[in-house]
Amino acid sequence: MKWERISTVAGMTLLGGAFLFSAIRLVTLKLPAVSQDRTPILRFAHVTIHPGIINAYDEAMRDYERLHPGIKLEQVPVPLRLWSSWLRTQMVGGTAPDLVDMDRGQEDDFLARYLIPLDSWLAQPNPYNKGTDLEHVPWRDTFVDGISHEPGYRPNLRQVYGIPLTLGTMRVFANARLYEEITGGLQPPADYADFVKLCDRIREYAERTGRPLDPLAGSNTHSLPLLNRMYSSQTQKLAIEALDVPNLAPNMRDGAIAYLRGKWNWNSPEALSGIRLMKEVGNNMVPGFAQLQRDDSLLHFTQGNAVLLASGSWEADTVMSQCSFPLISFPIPIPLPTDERYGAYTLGPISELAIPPGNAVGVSRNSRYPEQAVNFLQYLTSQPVAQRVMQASKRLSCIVGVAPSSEMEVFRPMEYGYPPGFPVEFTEGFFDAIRIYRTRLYSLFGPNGSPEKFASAMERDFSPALRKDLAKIAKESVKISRAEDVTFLDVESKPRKEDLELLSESQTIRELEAQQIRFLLKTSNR
Amino acid sequence: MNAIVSAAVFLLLITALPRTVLGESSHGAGSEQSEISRALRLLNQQPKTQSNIAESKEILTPLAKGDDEEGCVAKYLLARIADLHEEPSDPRLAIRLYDELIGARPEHQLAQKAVVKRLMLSLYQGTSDPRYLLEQAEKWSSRLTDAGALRDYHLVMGRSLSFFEGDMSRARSHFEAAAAIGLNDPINRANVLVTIAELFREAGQPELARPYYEKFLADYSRDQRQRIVQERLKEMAAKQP
Repeated sequence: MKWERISTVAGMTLLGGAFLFSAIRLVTLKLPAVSQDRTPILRFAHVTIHPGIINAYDEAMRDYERLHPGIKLEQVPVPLRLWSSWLRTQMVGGTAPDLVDMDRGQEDDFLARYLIPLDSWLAQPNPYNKGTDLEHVPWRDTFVDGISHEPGYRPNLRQVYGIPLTLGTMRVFANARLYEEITGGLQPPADYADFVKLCDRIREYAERTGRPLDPLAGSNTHSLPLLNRMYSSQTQKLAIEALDVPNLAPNMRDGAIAYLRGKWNWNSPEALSGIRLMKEVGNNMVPGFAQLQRDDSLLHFTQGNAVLLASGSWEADTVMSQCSFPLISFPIPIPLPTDERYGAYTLGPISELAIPPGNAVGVSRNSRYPEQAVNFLQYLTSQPVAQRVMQASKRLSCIVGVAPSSEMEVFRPMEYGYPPGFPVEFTEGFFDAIRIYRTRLYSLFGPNGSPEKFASAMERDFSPALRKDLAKIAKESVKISRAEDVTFLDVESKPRKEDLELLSESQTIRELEAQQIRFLLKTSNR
Repeated sequence: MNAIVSAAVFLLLITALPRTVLGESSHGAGSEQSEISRALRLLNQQPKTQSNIAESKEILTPLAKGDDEEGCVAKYLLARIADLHEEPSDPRLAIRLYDELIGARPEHQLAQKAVVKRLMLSLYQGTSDPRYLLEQAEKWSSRLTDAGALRDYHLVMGRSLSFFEGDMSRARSHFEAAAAIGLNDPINRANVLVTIAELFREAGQPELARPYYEKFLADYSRDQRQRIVQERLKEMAAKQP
């Protein structure tokens, strides 16, 4: 017995020691900046470790090396679970790779401290677009949103810290076999009213045949973005009317400010209409969807237990490869102004220029070759290279004019639309508001749930959460200003004049917005 | 595992912060510049402590007595400490310290910045009626000789008039002035162009709105407001006699 105990303790100690050694080895790993033959090495660390993507990046890197024989490129794939601590350690240790994924929850003060703002490069054309229709276009405008959203652009810092590579649009996949069996054809719904009829027919079919079939597969991953999109169609007009500064571009901060100023609440006609719309769409999903995970809804759909699945371009490849039946897909049919029940508060189709491109890559301040690192990002985001990389990895590029592969065509962003309204789920730093929304969904979709009960629960609990989030955002602004002051005042740092000018303007706007938040937190009775 | 990684990260954090934050100054020890660098490092050192703030104030206070370059930086930093570093912040003290800098060297770049910081503090954290203050602050533009500070002043005035539901024609004039000086932040520039156009349109002056809408359409072809702005232009054209 005693021997068993000793051997267990010894075994655990050995295991713990090995684990400790590996952890310390990992966090202190230093990567040389030159190869053995003294060729500079540029390293690109990221968490997108899907083999198709790694191979596509690898091909682009080898092509770049052929163009620039004096430089070598390496990928450093890091598991997502370790990313934040790994990156921080590399940054503070001065050993960070030149190019890093900055789209994994990195906070503003971290980015301001360790990454280079990229705005000055973005004002110039991308040299690798020579010979394309983007040849003379500033690099910034070669991205579908002009890099005006997170994660690449940081509203608090008011600068671009990451170059995005992909775009994620949502569409509805349908099981073509079931769809045809139920509707007699493969024609997608023409509008929202048609979509409701489609869901009704699926339910009638399930009842008639006794087949356990839901119209829409659902989970928190697949359903919440769909519901948010539906809701924000109902607040499009409200959001523009509620702006203090009439710039026609409402964002989440504007939504929060407008709420504290009493310009809308959860019982406003627009909000209630959005909640009713969510309820109507959600009722077509598998019950309890908000508690289910991505894999649950994927399985539900791929096993033929749901006819429709709202999904993103980022997992289109997975959906296509896992389904044993043919697929059709179509845009999410949000209500348009012509809709009898939901048309009054909407402006029209939501522009997908507002969908933020993702997989953004930043340049480390530690980089010994920042110019070369930016140059490689220009290469990777040039029209011809982005075309090759995205075709190979079956993703959607955020570069203007890069055509999706034929199977991804349906995901092509719809550009000609209107800005979305205020969301039902505030993100971008509104962590408490997200928690309140997700936990109160039960009063909408649970037993005896109703739009009125949900509105009432949100009206009761949203404000304290929003206040907490806004206070945190204002505090974050102070931290950023402190870091920026070092750049302004430290004679040791020698920033470029144009960067200082941009920084000064950005700091003023951010500090003003933080002051406005503090003022409202003090004076608003909401 | 998390504890191990956190411990390792913490060890690295305290031993390997970048040179600009924790490292030694290249200026001679004891020079005024190196003292300012030392105060800055103390202010940004993590974890943030009251004793570091107190020590940086001790370093800066004697320097702030002079009106030379280092004196101006020290005055500005002392105001920033009251404004941003102390918890809770002390806006009244910050305003007084910004005023001292503005009074001593009104043309200095940091004094020019201080005018804008002081304006924001008095509008949003002061005790006077913000609308009265906005009236008073109309005269402040004459104090500003630095183009960047003047642009920031106009932005603060325009956005504050909008926030406090003041005279929107005045707000528009401030946005126009900021745009005329030149905006570096492309997102801000796009917003200002649309705002000026919208304010002219709402005031029934479509002919003055048009050039701003057109500039926006030309310069921001990838912006989600393209369609709505195009529709505004069509509506205005349809209403023309």
